[in-house]
Amino acid sequence: MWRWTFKSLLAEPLAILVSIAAAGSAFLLVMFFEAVYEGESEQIVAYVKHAEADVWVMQRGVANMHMATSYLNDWKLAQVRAVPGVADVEGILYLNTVIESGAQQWFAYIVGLDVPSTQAGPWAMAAGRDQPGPGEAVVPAVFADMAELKLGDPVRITDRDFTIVGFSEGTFSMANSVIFVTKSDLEDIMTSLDIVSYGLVKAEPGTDPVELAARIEGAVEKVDALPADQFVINDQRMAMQMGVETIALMTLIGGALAVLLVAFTIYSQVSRQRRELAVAKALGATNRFLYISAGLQATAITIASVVVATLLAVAVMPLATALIPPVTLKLTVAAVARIALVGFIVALVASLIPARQIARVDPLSAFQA
Amino acid sequence: MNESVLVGEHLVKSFGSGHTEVRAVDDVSIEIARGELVLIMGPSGSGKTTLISMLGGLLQPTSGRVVIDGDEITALGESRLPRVRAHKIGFVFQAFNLLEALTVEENILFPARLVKGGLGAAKARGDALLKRLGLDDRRDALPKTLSGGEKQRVAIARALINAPPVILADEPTGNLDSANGQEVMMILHDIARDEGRAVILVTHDPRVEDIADRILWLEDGEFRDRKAEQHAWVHDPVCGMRVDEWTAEVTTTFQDRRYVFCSQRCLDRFDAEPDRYLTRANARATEAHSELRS
Repeated sequence: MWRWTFKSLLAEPLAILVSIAAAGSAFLLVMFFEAVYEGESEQIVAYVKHAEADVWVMQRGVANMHMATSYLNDWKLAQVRAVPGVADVEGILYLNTVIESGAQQWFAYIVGLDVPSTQAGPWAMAAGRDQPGPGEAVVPAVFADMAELKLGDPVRITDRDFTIVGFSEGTFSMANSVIFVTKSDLEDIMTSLDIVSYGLVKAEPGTDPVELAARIEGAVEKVDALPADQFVINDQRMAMQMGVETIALMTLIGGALAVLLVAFTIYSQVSRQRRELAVAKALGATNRFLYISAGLQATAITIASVVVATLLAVAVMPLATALIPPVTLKLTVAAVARIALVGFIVALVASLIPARQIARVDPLSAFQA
Repeated sequence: MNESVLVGEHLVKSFGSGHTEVRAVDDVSIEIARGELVLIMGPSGSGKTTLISMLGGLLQPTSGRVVIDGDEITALGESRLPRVRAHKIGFVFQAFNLLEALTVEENILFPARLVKGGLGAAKARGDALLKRLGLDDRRDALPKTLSGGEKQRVAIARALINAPPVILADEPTGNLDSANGQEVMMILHDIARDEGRAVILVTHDPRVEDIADRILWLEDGEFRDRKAEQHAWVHDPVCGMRVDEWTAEVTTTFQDRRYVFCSQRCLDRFDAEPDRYLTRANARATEAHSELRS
């Protein structure tokens, strides 16, 4: 069965190559969406991951940072600092807003820092300073590429102009880029004094963050404290909820496209082989045998398409990231495995489509001269 | 007589219903023993292929029954027929019907792969068949590189690979030249004689009559035995060529008499000027009669 199945599939190599290329393109599309999803889901939490905190402290009822609002009186940070096991605590003020420079606009996290900041500022720099002064801002280096910005150029945050003094690395995301200004400038924008949004707590060596968080909640009124790991998970979950339906829909469209292409190929293959199928039936092949044969052909085409798509993705995605800086792409083994699973379903569905055609092949037609 | 390996009893196959009903095969019975080579002949459209299809389990008869090697295949469900075909029947087709992507050896072994555990024993048998049919040096060749005669020999080897008791061949020489046709017929003859298989041939080829044990003539549902050496030779009234009245396919009836022709071209000429050709034919017949008397 194997020989006939695969040899007859390869009998028309050009048709099969075209089919693999077409189905591979559909899978590549799905991979691209997956990579965008993975890349963005990682990038959205880049700030909370890189901030040097073992425990995050925030207003009671708040559990993450993305699109959240949290207010704490800054004297509560002094109470936090007094909790046993706390080595240090730094407060940040935080605002979600749109910033603009020239004709470009970006949605951004504005993080107000108590300078010099040791825990909450940018973790890698492309150019300039990592600590902003009054009236100054540190913006993602990707902005420089997108809007041809230079150090010293202005950037507008709500109703105030800031001067760019640094370009930070790893702080850009399509959903929320991170801009650093001084806490006093952000207080001015928000017209809020003696307020922080989050407290970034560093634990003393050997202290368990989970226990420390519980201790802080017990010692300071009306605050929630979360270990950094949990805070990152919460933030990622919240952020990705907003894009997951879109990605799922795109994956569905790409998958459906792949089903159609593979099914069409197998359907054409069955049509081309109609006479041979009749002969096989006359010689004693059962419908089950022929269904399995068509299924194997669909599986072979799908596997080849997924492999081609994966190889193309591995080759093309670094190039795409370099050419399109705003898009963060990340192709994980898990994503490839998910797409392989989609591929398996594609093969299964695609082999069902010509089943009726196979069942209707009349072995008597083998007698036609 | 040897044990019957293929029995068809009161086989009827109708197509359509009511006014449009056509009986392609009408109450035909047939019994064929091991080692027997039987020809089924008849004009085009006489139901030969329908009959062979019913005997081969490819077409369910409207009524009647078919028994192969003790199994009544007409009583079996559709799902069980493929197994019977793979085990008990070898098919040889006019158009060879080799699987184009497979080599000669793979084609021959294909039916063995359809039988559970059949491949192990079939490999040795396949080697023997390749040698016996002169295909040993062509075992890795693809069908597209073979001559017509080689293709039909591969098809015969394929039909024999599972050692079925019955071989059904539909016009096996139809696409072959004279020499290859003769060779194929002798192979089928040997299969019947030496291996004790029942071989049923549907053919128009009168040369085959010499090697057949029986000739069955099928026409309008009527089925009768003929002896292989008998012919009904008559002359084409147009060209004068000798034609077997029983096997001729081009015929017409004129003034209540049946005339047979070697080709459609002669029939067309006859239809245009029947009196002219009948006069000439009568003159020829008179002349022949005089020669015979003198």
